[in-house]
Amino acid sequence: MAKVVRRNVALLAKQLHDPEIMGDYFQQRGLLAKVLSFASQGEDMSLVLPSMVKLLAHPDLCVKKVAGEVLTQHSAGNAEMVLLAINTLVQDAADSNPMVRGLALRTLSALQQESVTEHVERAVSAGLSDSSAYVRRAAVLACVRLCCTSPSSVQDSGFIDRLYGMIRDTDPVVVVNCLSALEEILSEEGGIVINKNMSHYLLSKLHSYPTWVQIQVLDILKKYHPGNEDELFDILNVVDGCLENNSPTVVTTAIQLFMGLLENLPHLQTEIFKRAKPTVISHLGSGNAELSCALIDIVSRASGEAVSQFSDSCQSFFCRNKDPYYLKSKKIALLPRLVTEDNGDAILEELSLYCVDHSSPVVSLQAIRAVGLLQQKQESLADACKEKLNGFYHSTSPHILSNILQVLQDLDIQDDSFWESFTTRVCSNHHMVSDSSGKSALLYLLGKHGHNSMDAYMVLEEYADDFSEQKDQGVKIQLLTAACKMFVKHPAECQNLLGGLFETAMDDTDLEVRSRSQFLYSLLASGIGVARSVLFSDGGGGDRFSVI
Amino acid sequence: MIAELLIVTNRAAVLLRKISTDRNEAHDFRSMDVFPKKLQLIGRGHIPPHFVENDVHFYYIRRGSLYFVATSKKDVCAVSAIEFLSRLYHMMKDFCGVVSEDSVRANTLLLHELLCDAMIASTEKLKPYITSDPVVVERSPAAQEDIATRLFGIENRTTPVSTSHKPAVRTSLDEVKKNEIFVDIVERLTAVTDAKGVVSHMEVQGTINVKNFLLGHPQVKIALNEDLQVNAAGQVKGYGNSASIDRCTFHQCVDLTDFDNSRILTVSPPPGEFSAMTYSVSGSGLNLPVRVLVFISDIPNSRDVDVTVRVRCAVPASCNAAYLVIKLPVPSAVSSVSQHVTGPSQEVAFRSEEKLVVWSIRKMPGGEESMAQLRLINHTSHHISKLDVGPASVDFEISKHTLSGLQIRFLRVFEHEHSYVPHRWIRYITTADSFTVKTN
Repeated sequence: MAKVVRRNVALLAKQLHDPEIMGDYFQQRGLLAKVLSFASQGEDMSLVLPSMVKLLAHPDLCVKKVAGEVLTQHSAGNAEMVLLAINTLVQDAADSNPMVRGLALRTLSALQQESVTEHVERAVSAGLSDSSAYVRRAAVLACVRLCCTSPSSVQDSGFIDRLYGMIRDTDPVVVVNCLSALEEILSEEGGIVINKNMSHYLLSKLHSYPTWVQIQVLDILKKYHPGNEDELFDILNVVDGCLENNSPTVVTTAIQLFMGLLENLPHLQTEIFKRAKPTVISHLGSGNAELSCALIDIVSRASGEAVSQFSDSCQSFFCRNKDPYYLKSKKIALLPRLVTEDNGDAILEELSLYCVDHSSPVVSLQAIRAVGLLQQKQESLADACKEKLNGFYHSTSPHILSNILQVLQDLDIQDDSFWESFTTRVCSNHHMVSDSSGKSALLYLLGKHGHNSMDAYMVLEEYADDFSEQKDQGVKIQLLTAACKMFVKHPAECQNLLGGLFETAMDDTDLEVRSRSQFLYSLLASGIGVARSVLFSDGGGGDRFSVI
Repeated sequence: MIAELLIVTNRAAVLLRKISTDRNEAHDFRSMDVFPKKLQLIGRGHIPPHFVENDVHFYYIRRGSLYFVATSKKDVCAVSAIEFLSRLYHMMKDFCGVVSEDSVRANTLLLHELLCDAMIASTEKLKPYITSDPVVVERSPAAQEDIATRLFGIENRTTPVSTSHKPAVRTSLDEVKKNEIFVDIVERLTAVTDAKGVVSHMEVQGTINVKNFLLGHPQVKIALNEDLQVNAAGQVKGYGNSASIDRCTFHQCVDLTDFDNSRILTVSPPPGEFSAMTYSVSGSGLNLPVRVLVFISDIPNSRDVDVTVRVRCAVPASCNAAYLVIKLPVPSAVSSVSQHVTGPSQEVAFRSEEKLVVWSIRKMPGGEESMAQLRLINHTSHHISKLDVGPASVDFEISKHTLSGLQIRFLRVFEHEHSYVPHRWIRYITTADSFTVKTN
């Protein structure tokens, strides 16, 4: 395969030399398109470089552009080619057409080789005071690249001062390029320094700039810290309008800027989200899944109080059928944080739709987990949530059952009648749970809540019979613990079961299982009272492995 | 900021790759291998649009069958990277007419130039700096996937399809191009109903999309319903025929001086496609265009389950619901489905690997009703729980009808230099974004 491509590149190089094609713009462009598509496959393009050098002098701007592109991208170790190209580029940098001048500057600086520094310096110096904005933009960016190859030349030739001066340029793109160029060049000294005058100048112009420039200006302004409170509020007033901008990036950058400015005034931070809410909501409905996902990330990162600003429009965070899985997960994870007295039922209804999601076990697990969170967070919903969870357990899909068990083992529900009915159901269809995390969750729950049920004992017995075939460490440990708990409550009935279990577990190949069974054995040996207090001293719902 | 841009197909082939010319931005890391590999490994829909691998940040958007990927060494704000990619996509669409695998291949040169300039000069006003010409690619008729990419190619008898996917940006070659403007009102419905058809949540997201091929820079006036109410959220809505919307935002080029009094949008449209207005409607003023009822019952002395689905198209008789598709997930115990449907040009298919029953109706006139009787055949020893059947999702497309009642009274182009009147096309389209019918 590589050989074929190599031959194709060689053929291409030959065609590029063909004098007939040289004269025909259209065919020339076609060939260059092929060159580009080879280049994007990551092929070695050194064979075509001589032709590219020649094409740099081509009268067609498009051909010139592409030739320069290919040359800069593939001439890294090829100083000879670079030297050949310089003459043409220097000539072009003084062309009468601003497009040609700008292009030459771009290519020249992108070569990034020591040998050309001198030429680049001269061209950039001329370009910075060019009458065409296009050339100035290119020249500013060229400074950055020049700085990479030879930092000293930028320092010595006074480019930095000139760049600072050019922040007051009439062309907004030049302004923004200057800002980011200075940020980059001075990165070792902490980037560009924004003083009061500069920040006020940029703010006064802010609303006349095009969107993308606004974004970068806002971004740079994050570095400025106002001297006093009056100044702070002046800035807030100017930037405030950006929170209602159509572009989501302007809004998010403005939010970030505000968050930085209001670090010491947390009560105002909530206000910011209130102002930005309509824009965020309208973009969530735009159907751009990737954008919605990024915006939800921003919202989720905010503090609890700020997030609750979105509570009354929680419907905008509901999932759509066509949402990709990653977006569904994000939305589901956020919904419990939006819950209030008023929207609780709606959110629970929405979540229950996804709890029984067949297409993706991950989404279903997350939805069930969210219901669990709701149960703990909102007192008024606790019963409804428990009922839902119990209801879902009627499902016949193994992954849903397993998900419910996994979520329940982390929940601290103090309700005996709930557990009683739940254990009965679990025991009746325990064979449907097939994955190991589901199984260990099932055993944990039976150990904790099932000690009054004969069915639970039967299930444990069934699992104990298969102990030697069981491969998963977690399941084995949970089974041992559950059996011990059962034994403490009903010593007589469980003696045989536990004895058999210990016998096999002590000889288990897994060290963890062996040591756990030894630990449990010695615990029981130290007396039933101690064992009871240790086994049932649940320090908190979650840490089932640290305490048992 | 951005080190690299890639266009990747859904078969994980790299179509186009553009590396930043800044050495200190670029990374040696072969992202062109990483992203396609990840795509094959994890599968679509599971990769988050922003992820980090080997300290390189990846951002991507998916449009149709193509992925547009940007990488960076710095942690760029995901919103901005994604908006940048979305804008890039729109620019490509404006330049090439259609962005598909074929058109990207045909327009390598143009797109390369576009990416190159976009990386340097951001996304504003690139037109003057682009020197290559677009190659127009005929769109394949099978591209029926994404409403966003399909909108202007939507099949509609009143519009010549060929005009709708041509490049919007003028280059020297196409002097003969028609002078015309398309204005579409597109409404996407999000609704959840229970099995009896009672609506528990319903919302419509609407946009007024403009695709502008006008010569020169004329002003355009779009007049909406005179009695249109723009409610502040939470206000009580009036019933009756008047259209009302909850929330709306406008594009920068829209002048709203006449909006408060006479509901006229004055637009100075940039060339190409943009949404002049986006709005949303929710709550009581809306009626479902398609009603779906689902009944599930156990069959005595059998482990099979009977499912009856009824659909009624509740739009005026002059409109049709097209491509009506109802998908019903069934539990894994179901091995096959026997079916009986009442109407012509309907089809029920059982996709056994996805465990999905799909009932599709090509076209359903307003006011008509249809019914499908399904028997889910169960070969296992368990009973099927009703809980595991559904929820059903419904898809449809209705043209010449809006749910909010929003209409365009007139569309005028104020052109002083030319004497002839440009072609103006107005279309109304309603589709289901997410329509879920709970079954229990």
